[in-house]
Amino acid sequence: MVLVALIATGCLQKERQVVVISLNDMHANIDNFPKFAGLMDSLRSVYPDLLLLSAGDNRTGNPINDRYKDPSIPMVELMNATGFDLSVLGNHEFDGGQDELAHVIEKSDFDYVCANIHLPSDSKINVSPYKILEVNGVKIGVIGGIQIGKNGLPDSHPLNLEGIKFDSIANVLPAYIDELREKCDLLFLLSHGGHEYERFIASRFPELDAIFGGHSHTKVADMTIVNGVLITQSECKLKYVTLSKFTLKKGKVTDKSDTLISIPLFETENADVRAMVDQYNSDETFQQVVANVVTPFSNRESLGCLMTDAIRYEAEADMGFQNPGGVRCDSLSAGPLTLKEVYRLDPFSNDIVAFTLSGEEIVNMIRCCWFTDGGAPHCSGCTYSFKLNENDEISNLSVMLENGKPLDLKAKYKIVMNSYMASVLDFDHEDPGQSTFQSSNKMLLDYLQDHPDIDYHAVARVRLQH
Amino acid sequence: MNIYVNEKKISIFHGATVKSALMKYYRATGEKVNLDSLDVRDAYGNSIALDGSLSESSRIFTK
Repeated sequence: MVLVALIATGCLQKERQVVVISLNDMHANIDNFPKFAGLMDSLRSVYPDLLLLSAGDNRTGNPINDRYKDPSIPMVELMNATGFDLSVLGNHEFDGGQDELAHVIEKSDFDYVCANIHLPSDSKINVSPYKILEVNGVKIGVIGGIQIGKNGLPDSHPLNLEGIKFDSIANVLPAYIDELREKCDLLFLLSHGGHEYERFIASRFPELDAIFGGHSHTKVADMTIVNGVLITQSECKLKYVTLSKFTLKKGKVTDKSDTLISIPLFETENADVRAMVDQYNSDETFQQVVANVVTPFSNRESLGCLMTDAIRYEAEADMGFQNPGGVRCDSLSAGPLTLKEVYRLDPFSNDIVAFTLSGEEIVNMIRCCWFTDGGAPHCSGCTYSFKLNENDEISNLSVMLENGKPLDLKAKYKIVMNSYMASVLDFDHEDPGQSTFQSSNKMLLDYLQDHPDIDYHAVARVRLQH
Repeated sequence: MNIYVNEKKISIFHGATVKSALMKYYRATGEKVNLDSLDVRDAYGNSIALDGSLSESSRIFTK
């Protein structure tokens, strides 16, 4: 009787171990999934009760997933097949819009957590602030947290976040820590907050046992413990996973450690997952028709007009600009335009950056692009002509707006350009700019959805005067 | 936002990635560098990917 009582009260508890595999920012790199699944098979043969956690940004970065007929479902099916237990929402989870995210969560065999999101009452997005998991009698509280920027929102297009409010992870954590610390033996933060911020959280909240982090694509190769809190992050795109071990005795954590494991170096693939990935890759996703080309494009100028029209329209800007080097095709045939051809036209996936610039700053930007990129930028919302002086520099630049009026050098305009231009063009401008967190090819595809018949016959907006 | 590359202050658009910051940095220094060949570290010595996110006052270093 005494022995039974002792067992029941846990006085004879042995050491117990919890093993967690975490990774972050997979960004739909499905080609590494067969080896990842093979690695998980191997790890489960040693640690059958391990937990598998994703620290967010499961999608965005691979059109096979992001533009699939049922968008993002390849990643959902692969994560289901690999036995994920939980994922936190990353900023890119919102990239397909809220309905798509709700659908992704509904199709997932695992739950999503996020404690610092405040959804409207009619939202279909099914996410909890935390989940309590149990492994070998150990109760584990896993709280989710997502990064927010200076605008109070995660790094996604604001339209994707309409109606949703966010708080900082640091603001919401105390209440959940109070609630969970007594109920749970282990307390984790599954974070898409970035390594720097995760160190700050660790310095503030020693009640946490670990932070499984993401967002900054940091490879935390050496075990990192800040204020007693283990912090992990395994770079991105399924290059690594982190294996963390927690040893508990009498309800107390007596040891914790982690190891980074390379996925590409693991030799054995999971055959079932390989078959799934091969099927997604051979899918007709890239062959899907996204628009109809009415008259053929025969030069880069007209293609640049299409690309700048797309970013200007999607960002609701006054003008859009595109460096000539960013147009990667010379022509497009008339007829059906496929997704593959759009990615051939614009393979870079650079994010689009918005600025509020004065007319004078725009003029300087055009001059700078000529000097830096070796060509005059393609444009939308304006036309311009120029001469070249004896030093091959732009002179006599005359910019006319779409309404037929000349560019007002003192007026302010909202303009958009890709992140390459925003980084390398060295011209003075007051507004530092703000990423839209949408890539140029996503904007082009979205534009083509609204403009299925494209005709740029004889369209030219940039003229070199002789 | 302002970030620091090899302790040099770089003003760049909000939401910039490591790659954008390095493009701006090397444009300013005039060095021709293959970004893919760089070993990029954060302030704690961790390796970071070129498409990693930066925030205000981030410090990164290249080797």
